[in-house]
Amino acid sequence: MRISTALMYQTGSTAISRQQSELSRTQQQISTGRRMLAPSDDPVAASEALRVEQGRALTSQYLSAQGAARDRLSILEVRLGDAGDMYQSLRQLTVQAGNAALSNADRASLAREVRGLQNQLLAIANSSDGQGGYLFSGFNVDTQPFDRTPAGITYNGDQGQRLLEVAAGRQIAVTANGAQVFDRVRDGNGVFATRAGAVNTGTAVVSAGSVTDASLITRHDYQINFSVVAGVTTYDVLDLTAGTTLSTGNAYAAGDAIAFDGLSFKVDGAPANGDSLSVRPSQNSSVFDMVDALARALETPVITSADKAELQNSLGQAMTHLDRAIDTALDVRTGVGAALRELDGLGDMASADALQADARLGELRDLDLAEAISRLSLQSTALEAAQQAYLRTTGLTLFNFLN
Amino acid sequence: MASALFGIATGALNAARSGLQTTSHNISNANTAGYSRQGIVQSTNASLFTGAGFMGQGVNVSTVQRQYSGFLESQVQTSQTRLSRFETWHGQMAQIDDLLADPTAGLTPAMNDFFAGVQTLSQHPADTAARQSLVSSASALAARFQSLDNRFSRMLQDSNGRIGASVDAINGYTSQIAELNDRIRLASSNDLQPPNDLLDERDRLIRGLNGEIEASAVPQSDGSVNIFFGNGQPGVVGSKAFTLAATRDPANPETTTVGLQTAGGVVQFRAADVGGGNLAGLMAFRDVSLNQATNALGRIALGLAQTFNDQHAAGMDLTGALGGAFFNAAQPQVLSYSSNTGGATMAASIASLSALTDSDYRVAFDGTNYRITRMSDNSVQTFATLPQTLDGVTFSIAGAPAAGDSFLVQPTRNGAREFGVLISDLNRIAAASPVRSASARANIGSGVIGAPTVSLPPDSNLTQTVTLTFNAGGTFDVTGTGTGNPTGVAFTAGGAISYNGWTVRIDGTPQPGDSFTISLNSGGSGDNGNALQLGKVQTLKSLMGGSATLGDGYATLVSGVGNKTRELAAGAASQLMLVDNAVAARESLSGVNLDEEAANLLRYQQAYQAAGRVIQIADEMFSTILSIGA
Repeated sequence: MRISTALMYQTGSTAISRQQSELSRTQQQISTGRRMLAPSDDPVAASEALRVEQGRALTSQYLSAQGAARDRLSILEVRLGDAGDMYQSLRQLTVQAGNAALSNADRASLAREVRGLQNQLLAIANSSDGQGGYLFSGFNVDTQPFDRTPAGITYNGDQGQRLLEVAAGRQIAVTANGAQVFDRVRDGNGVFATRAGAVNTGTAVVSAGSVTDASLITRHDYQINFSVVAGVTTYDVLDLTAGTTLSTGNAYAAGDAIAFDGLSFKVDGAPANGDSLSVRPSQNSSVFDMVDALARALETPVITSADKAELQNSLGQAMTHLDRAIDTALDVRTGVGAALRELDGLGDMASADALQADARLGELRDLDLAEAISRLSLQSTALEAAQQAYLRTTGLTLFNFLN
Repeated sequence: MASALFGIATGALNAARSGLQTTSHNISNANTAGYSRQGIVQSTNASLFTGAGFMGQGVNVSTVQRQYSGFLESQVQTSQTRLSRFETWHGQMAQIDDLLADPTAGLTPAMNDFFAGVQTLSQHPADTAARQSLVSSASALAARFQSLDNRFSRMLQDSNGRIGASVDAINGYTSQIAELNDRIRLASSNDLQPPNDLLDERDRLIRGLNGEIEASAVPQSDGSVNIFFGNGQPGVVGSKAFTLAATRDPANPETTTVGLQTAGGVVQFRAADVGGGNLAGLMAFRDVSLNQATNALGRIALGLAQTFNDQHAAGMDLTGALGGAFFNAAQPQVLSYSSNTGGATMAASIASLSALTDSDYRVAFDGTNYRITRMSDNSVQTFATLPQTLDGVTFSIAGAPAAGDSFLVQPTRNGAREFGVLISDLNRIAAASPVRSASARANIGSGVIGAPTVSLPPDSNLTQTVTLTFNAGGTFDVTGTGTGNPTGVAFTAGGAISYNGWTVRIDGTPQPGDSFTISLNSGGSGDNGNALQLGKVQTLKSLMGGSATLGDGYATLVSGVGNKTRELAAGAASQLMLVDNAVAARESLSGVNLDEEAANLLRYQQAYQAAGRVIQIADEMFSTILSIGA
């Protein structure tokens, strides 16, 4: 084949410029540390990298949400612990108040302590969430959750509970509202509540009682009416809701259990003729009202034996109610603890995900430096060879020999 | 006898001198583009019959011939026109490729930042700083969309400008070719000798023309060539050059089209009329690749704006109102052909985000039917009436179109350009759910009500207070505007209860008389219910038939651009090889080899010297005869 001189020069210089552009590309890769300089270098890896990057950003979001959740739950846990401490102190005072040797003045001073604890409890319930809002007011973070009104301490928040998405498809509650923690503690034993009649003149003291057969529980209101005829005490059991009489003329002895419709409670002391007891389903009631009732009972002077019985009934109610409050706070706290433990697990998972995504991004985008440097030296050798070949071939011409 | 010798020697001297002259012409044009080496064709003079037979009468130069093959030349032209198309397209495409290359400057980081802002909002729904940071990251995202779109529209303008320049170059080539045709015809009419250098010049021009547009040359008997573009549009006929014109597209004022200038106006070229060359590369880039990339980016922007707005509208802001539009969602762009004669106006709206394509649509009215063409694959659907919904776009028309009227509909073209943040008042960010649920304090049962979820779009009675009151026998009554106040609704623990566009679940066992309320979430500034839903927009598969998230949409755009660039680079590389081969084949025949020319120099020099020697001998013979008498 004939070779034209112009083509010979052109071929040589094209080869050199091709080698140079490859060399420059490798140099660019090394100086940026990137394997892909443009998506066209590896379109599949480029789009995968974008997807991995988005997944990585989501993982960062989850990690951040987990941090926020942990912060909020920790505050909540501390506050619930504080409330629990208050309940324990109140419980001790209640036990102390049951001591028969105390005078009215002693009880009045206990009542002052109770009022002081109530104020502390109120401060806890109105505590801040550390971000300018109230911790226990539900979604109404700008509303002070508990206010002292003439009718007692009322709850002004709502029942909202904030969730955070801490992992794909996993939302956990990071707040508890005041309704749940303070305002809606079931009174009595949680199923039913016993009360001595307000105008009782006898010394009957009623216990909180218990459920003996849950399947028979009716959630009706009942009334027990005592009658004392010729020194013999009997009682009738009325179902007020159904308007029926369950039994009449039951013989009564102090310390006996009264049982019907799956529930049972003890009555002690000597009821007077016409005294009554009421039994009704447990209702939501505020712990603040309960503490108020306790304080009022302690402030009421005890003069007669009936007063004494009333005090004992009040203390008994306060005790069961406090136990319910402690249980409620503990329930919420257990939930918080479980959530915190879950967050630890999710945090480990998310960190592992983040590491893996970073590693994958590195594989997709980053340059294998060792390979690139050996490629660089190979390419520079090839360029040198092309240059030398060019010099050699273009130096050969017949004109060199004409003279 | 001596005079015959003189005659022969003079002829030989002339022939050797012509040889030397041609050789030096070759040497001097060794580096001239398109030059074909020339050589003299020698032939013997007619011999003289004598008694001793035919006596040779020396040599003459019959012609100067260029070493040329029309076939090899057309191979170079054809491969060159294809190469130009690939190289230009690739060069333009590489601009988009580079634009999307930087992982920190692309859309993904801005999008991720924005959704991180949504996440922060869900952590601190009432916090002004979190709200401010969301608006800032939304503005940054909008700026990123707009800057990408801005780069795309600059590429569009650049392509239009380059198409105009290419048309100018084509017109320059054709007028020169026409002029050369004229000169060649005149020159070759003399003694039928070929005007080699003029022919080379014309071939060079045809080659250059092929760089701009596919042009085939058809030789005529008078030495001229006729030039036809692409699939047969005339470029040059004899000494007449046709003029191309770059004009504004009657369908789309944003683009320039190419047409043949005739007395009756400009006849538009279709893509096939251009065929190859720079012009075809520019048009393919602009009308296919750039269009697709702009539309795909617009679709992502539109998708984000719409899905985010829809969810935002189902939330409640700090003023207690339902959320307004957060982003500006662009409407489809509709352009009427400037050639339309009817008075109709076309309108288009997005009916389904997930069904949207990245194509443009042409709606043509033929007098009875509307033909809607999806321009990416030229598939046509015919409808007798509008409005019709096709590919997630509802096409409707107002007024009466004339037969032959056409409209261009670009559903997502303005998506990125018009993407903007509409929220400036931080209180108007709807982070909270508009409704909340509550159980009555007097409830004695164990029923627990969950937070209500809101379905899209929000019901007009969404925030009406609705009370669910339980009856004996495990049913409940519903009261509240919009519910129809049904009674005795069966209850299943944990089952969904939906009215007025919300859904709640009640677990546990409510007792008769227990009640639950769903009402306006007044004062619920600490609620992040809607912010959590807004965060889910990032992972919502809202595009491409519900198969792709917004991020996937962008990844698809990037890999599409990357793949096309790669494909064009490969196409250009293999086409370059064909050009190299064609050029080498042509050069092998027509190119100048200086060594060969050096040898020819020696050859003709020696022939010249030999002829000179003949004259010298003839002279000596003549002197010998003269000295006889002396």
